[in-house]
Amino acid sequence: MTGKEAFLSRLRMGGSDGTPVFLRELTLAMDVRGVPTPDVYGPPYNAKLSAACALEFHRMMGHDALTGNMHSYSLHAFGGITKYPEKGTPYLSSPPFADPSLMDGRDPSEIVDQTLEGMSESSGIVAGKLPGVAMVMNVGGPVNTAGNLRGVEAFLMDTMSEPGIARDMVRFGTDVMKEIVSFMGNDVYDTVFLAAASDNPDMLGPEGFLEYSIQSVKEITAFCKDMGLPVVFHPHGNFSADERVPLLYESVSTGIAGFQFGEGNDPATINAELSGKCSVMGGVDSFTTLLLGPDERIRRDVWKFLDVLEGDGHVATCSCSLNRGLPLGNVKAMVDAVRAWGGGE
Amino acid sequence: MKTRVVMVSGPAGSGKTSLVKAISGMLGRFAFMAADEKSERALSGLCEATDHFPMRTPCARPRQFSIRLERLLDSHDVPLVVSEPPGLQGETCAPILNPLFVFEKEKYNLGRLILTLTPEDVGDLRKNDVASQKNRLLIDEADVLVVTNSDAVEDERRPGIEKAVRSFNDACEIIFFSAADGEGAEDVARAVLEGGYSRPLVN
Repeated sequence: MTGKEAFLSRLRMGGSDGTPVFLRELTLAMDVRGVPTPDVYGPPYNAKLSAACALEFHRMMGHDALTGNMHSYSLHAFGGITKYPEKGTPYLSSPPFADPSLMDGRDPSEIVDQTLEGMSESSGIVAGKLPGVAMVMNVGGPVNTAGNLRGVEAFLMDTMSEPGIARDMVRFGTDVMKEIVSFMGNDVYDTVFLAAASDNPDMLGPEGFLEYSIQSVKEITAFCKDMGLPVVFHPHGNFSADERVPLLYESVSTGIAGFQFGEGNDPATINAELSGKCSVMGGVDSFTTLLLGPDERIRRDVWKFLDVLEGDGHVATCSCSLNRGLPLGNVKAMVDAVRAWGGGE
Repeated sequence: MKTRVVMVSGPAGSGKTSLVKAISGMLGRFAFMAADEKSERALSGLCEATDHFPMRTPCARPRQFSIRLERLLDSHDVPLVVSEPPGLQGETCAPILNPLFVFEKEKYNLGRLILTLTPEDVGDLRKNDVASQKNRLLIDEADVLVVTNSDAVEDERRPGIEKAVRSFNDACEIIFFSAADGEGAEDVARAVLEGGYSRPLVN
């Protein structure tokens, strides 16, 4: 069984010989070659360099699922200012729709720019070289995208004082997500991953989460399903407290194939509630365990998660995406710990 | 010389800003990074400089903290920055401080991670609701726990509060503090000025 087969089997809540590992290497793979961030992002986006980074990262880690490109949410297509620190992670320093009237006359299809084309080309190169590895398309979640377009603080204010604007932003963001999925397509990719840190009931409140996130996730999941692409939803926030468990059920009701929980959740509760309903992903904290090490602590924490989560439907991940600066040796220690769990190696 | 950075965390309403305000006269020259504009205004005129964090997506908090800190220190040469965390005020702080510890240790001297909780917060720790789950995580990472509103806590209740905290963190210093009568203020000031960030590094 290849890593890709194992990953996809687990997404269907099936089993596999070992635990598949998914690393969302958004910008970390640039550290393997030590390339400056602007060398990849340009403009123009350098697809070949991006692919070379992803491939070398895979040679080092040997993981089973990856994104295959150095990621950018590409929202500069709508204006605003995106910064590309020399050795850092790209970030929006000024959101495109800080003034919401700037959304007028813009079309979600504008997201398909040279950067997105470059990311797609990079993933195509990687998929061609690694046919046994699952390709995962990283797409910002509904509120994540809306928040990045508008500015998170302004968006949250909108939900209270100008809900019409908040709804328009999520509508626009959802259409952007569809444009990305349509363009990136199902030739190269096996799965869509909704990276949704701001689709977060801690920020939006449970009602806001249902209104702004869940409705849109339902729509995008149906859209992806029509293309044969299963969806993994990765919201942040607390889903394991008693009053939040119903939000897990609401998330599953959208038709997602997998749910990745973020930091601060109780894995046993999440697993018990979602077992048999969808694939469960999650694991060690990226900013504590994985950042600090040492190897023994990483192994101990990885095994703690596997003791609770391993079984049909589980894919090992860390708590969030992997970005520049994270010690590569610590990520390797995480993958090795997964492989060694239960005496596998 | 390295700038000392001290994080004061805690859920909304637990008394972070009041704590810093109460001890501001004991800290010497310092700057204050607030969780929001309202908290920033509360320290206006009581320290050398203030700034606040706009709300960002949770993944961006570590980067946001580093960028705002650098910006503040570019314009104000102060030996100490006391900061509330960016974000929702219920999220853990180790993910924010660890990158500074790993990547910017030449620039910053990280002080102890100080957590404020009300006696009611501590009393609810065993509950399985969102607030209590988060408070347990916040206690787990703290170097110092400040129990605020201590003027409303009788002496006989204090051992019970300490015992409840010890189930989740057996190493942190516990200080009872009251902005109303000044109890514990000198101890909190000492906690800000002395000692280093340690709990998340060995936990």
